[in-house]
Amino acid sequence: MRSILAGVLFLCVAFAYCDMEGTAQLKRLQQDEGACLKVFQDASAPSVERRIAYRKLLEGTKHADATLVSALNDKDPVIRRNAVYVAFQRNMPGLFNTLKTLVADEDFNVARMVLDCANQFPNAEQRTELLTLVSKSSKHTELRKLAYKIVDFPFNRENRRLKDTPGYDHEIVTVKSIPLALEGWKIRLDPALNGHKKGFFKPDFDDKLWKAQKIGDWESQGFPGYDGVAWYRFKFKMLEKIDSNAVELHFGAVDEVAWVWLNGVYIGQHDVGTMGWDKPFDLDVSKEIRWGEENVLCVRVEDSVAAGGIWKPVVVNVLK
Amino acid sequence: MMKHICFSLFAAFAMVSLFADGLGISTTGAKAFVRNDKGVLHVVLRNDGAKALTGIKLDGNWIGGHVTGALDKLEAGASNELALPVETRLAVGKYDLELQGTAKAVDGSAVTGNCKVQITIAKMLQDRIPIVMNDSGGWKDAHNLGFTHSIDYICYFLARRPNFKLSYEHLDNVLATGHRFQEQICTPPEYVKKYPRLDKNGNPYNSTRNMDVSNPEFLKEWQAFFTKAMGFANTHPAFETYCTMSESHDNTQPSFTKHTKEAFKKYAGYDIPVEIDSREAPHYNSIKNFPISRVIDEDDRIFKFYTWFWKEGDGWNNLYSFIHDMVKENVKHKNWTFFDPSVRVPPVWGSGGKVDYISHWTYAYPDPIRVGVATSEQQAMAAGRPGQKIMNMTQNIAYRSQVAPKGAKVSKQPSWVNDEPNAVFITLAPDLMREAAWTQISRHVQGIMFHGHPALFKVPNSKHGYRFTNGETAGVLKDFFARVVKPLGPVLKSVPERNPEVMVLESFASSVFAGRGTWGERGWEYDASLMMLWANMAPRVIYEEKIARDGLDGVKVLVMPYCDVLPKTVYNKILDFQKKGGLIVADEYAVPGIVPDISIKAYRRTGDPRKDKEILQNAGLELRRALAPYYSPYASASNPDLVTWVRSSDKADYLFVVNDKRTFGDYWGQYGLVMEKGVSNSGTVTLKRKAGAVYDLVEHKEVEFSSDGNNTTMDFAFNAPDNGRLYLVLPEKLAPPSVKLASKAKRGENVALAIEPRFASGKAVKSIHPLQIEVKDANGIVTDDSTFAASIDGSCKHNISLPLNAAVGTWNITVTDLATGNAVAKTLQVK
Repeated sequence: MRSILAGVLFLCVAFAYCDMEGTAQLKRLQQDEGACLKVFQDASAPSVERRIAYRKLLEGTKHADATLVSALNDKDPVIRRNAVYVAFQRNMPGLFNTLKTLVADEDFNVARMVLDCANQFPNAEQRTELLTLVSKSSKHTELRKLAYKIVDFPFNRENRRLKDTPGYDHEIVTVKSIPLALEGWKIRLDPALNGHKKGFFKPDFDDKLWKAQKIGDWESQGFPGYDGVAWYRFKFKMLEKIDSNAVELHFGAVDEVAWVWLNGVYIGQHDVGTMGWDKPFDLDVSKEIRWGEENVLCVRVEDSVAAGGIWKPVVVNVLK
Repeated sequence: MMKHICFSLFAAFAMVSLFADGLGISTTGAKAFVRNDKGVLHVVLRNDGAKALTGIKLDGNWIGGHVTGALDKLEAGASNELALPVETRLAVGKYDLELQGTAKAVDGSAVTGNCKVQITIAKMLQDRIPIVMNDSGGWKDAHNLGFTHSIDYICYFLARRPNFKLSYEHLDNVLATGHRFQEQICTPPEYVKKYPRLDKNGNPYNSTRNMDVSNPEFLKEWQAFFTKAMGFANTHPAFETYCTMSESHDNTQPSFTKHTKEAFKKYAGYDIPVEIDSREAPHYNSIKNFPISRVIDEDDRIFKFYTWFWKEGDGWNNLYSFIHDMVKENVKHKNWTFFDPSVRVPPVWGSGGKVDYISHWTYAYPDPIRVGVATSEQQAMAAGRPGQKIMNMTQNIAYRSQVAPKGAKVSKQPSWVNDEPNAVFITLAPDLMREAAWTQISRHVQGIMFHGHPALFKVPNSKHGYRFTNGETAGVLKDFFARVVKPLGPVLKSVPERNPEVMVLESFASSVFAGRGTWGERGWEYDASLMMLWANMAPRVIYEEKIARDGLDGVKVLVMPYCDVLPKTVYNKILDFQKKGGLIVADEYAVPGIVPDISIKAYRRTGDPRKDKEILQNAGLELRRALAPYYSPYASASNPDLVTWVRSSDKADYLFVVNDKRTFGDYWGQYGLVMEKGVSNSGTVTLKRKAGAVYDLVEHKEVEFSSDGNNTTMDFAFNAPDNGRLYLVLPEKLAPPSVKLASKAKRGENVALAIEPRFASGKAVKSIHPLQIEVKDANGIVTDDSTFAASIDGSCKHNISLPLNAAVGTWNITVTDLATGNAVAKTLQVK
């Protein structure tokens, strides 16, 4: 780090004299399309200057189309990302195939732009094809999951807890903790991944045929070796309303990924991949909890390695 | 036969009263008056006899001359109040006045009464920067530490009590010291349940402060009470500042009451959009057909709702304006209103409404220079209301859970843990306080504030939630106020910020549709400013509305952290800025239509303060390096722990340098959450200018520098815990100031003192310049004409106001240039 700092001091002084030259070059580029073309085609030119050249060329008429095509494969991901966006906005000929080739872009932000374009692609069939391709071929796990969810599993919510409320400048106290029973849960496996389409999370869903389950891994409770998705349902009576600022569900641990509904409303997810199997998490349910009434909790659990399931207690915390 | 009954209601109510066969004379209200201000003594005449009195006359003689008043008739058992003007052009001190009353009884006999009053002439307050203890806990402690204002007792609360009366003796004592009180307005608890905000289903929100302040019935009801409370405050000039409420936006939510729905429809022309459910809009990812450009029309229905909601729709800003207007209407003596924390809202103009000052508090950890970012945000906020000024504030406290969590096992547990095992809020570390305070005054603010009185003063058996765990912190403030803030206050208030060249856009549209925003305290946008502070790039925050209104003329670099979504006008102005040669620095979240000239990566803190600081410092330096061929900031430093800030006036630069080199100490450091211990540091700072002289404004002496014509470089050596400097950089050396003063004057006259700071070449110093004026009367007593001052536009015109009873003889006036320490002495013969 020290060497960087010393270098920076030197650079600051040195560039104090260079900035006039650099600024003059930027001005030249703003005015001279020919200079822009030269700089844009020079892969070794400074990225600041190449980006200015790119923008300038796109504004013009003479080199715009060729620049855009070239930019889609530019070495600078910032230019590539913008080129994808511009190609989509301009409905560039061959856009569908172009996007297909860019699905596997190494750069996350370029690939994300491709996903955004895919998601708004005007032709429904092609949209689904592109999204499916992203869900299978993207080099970025997050984008693969996102595309899958757009296509098939539209449950995603940023759950904001009281402690994360912007500007919350108070100490938070748990005024009541209500542990949910360890027994009395019900479970159903979902190897076809369509439980959400069947409405497993709905409060009035008939779960009579579901198997009884305790808090603990499902392997030891009748499903040895099962890796995949399973759904849990649990009913509990909430106490009468007390003075408070928030209510949260605390999960001691779910192995591995969890999606949570309360009273039919999607609450949020604990989705950090396989590493999430032993991590506690909390979800705000202030709006969804029904004080003094029966509540229906539903958890979709996905496990990919070894044991799976809700294996540590769940607690309702009332906060002030 | 005269019957003298002298009583006082109780100790807090000083009321001298004498009764004589029915004529009672007493005083109420202030008996202390600021020298040369309007003085009015309120005298109560009471007929305690069984029959009416007529022809009542009141007379008194004192050093201030003759006092007189009259009343035609006073019925039996009745009382009446006379307002008697009193002379205040007297020297500061206490003076006796004896009032004599005469009246006629119905049988023609004379009835008399008298009353002895001691009048205090309090010192005039010269130009000073407010140093506010925005807390209660003992005004004398606060005053002795150097605070100019604090909370003591609050009319707003006490006016609820039946038969409440102010203790004027107490207020008079305060006035005499020059201290002033803050009134703290808060959400009236009795109205919270009565006027709740309603959610979409018509149910009250589950929050203690979420009052529906737009409700016309509430405003009507509250106005009556508030007027009564301000009536009390109006009776004494010790009540000077009025905080229009705190933290009230925190729990705000859209209210679906009839009048709110009607108000929005009137504003927008349509009903509240169905998507609106809370103060947080749906994320753009979840909005169907959200434009892929992420550029929205200003008329977008959801955007329009939240623009309205945060500016006026939730009612709070209008309420602050309402309070401000009522204070101005009901309080006739000097007053000023403020609101805090003003940027604990999304980045959109309007916070605080019409108040005179907006303020904002920050916690001085993990990085104490962070108050500079919040101050810049306030400047961005105030840009929406020309003329509105700002103050900033540091918390004297720390959340223990954030700096030294209870129950955490550490080696070498700090000693305070044994003394305060259950503390929740503890005293801020002294080195952090010093650094934060230096950062506070480096910005152009009109006052500085602090909160957490009990964390600074040890009070035996205190039950307060704020615990006193470090005795050094109060001393840091006392020293800082005395050596830096008070002497330089008039200058600190006056020297403007430089025209901004590097601006950080905090996007309101992104806060609405992507959940962004610093809320005045944290997040990547906040850290983006911090990293550039460490790189000495002088970043300033800008809001979208400012760009839409004024464009980006003069700006060289626009930094765009978390600008996921932009309004169309702003987007177009940014593109226009870029086309004209402006440089854009943006992260990976920027709207896709913008191609940044330089890319940065959004950073999320890890919780390891050393690592976070190092990463952000390096990111700032890397950005500076990337910009260097095209733009170089005005200041640079040889290491990023030397954090500079420059304000400029004419050809003078006020250079603030804060040493931010810190490590883990033995107060909190064991817990690894905050580096709270200052470390010695040295290096150089360079400004892109030519200089002929540099002065240390705290030490009042010239310092060495080198100047090659284009750059001026100064050495800095900080021996911990010392961590701040203020240098004045000038084009040439200073000579002693020119001072003009008449040689003689009479008592009661005003004597003009004209000071002109000069360079050694004889040219006038046109920049704002710090001076000290000391006036000693013929007895050698320093008078209240003495002051610290700022010379502006080449001169400082001061008035020496000789009291009617001024000490006759030779007065000595000394003018000191606070840059050089050079003093010029003059004498004045007073007859």
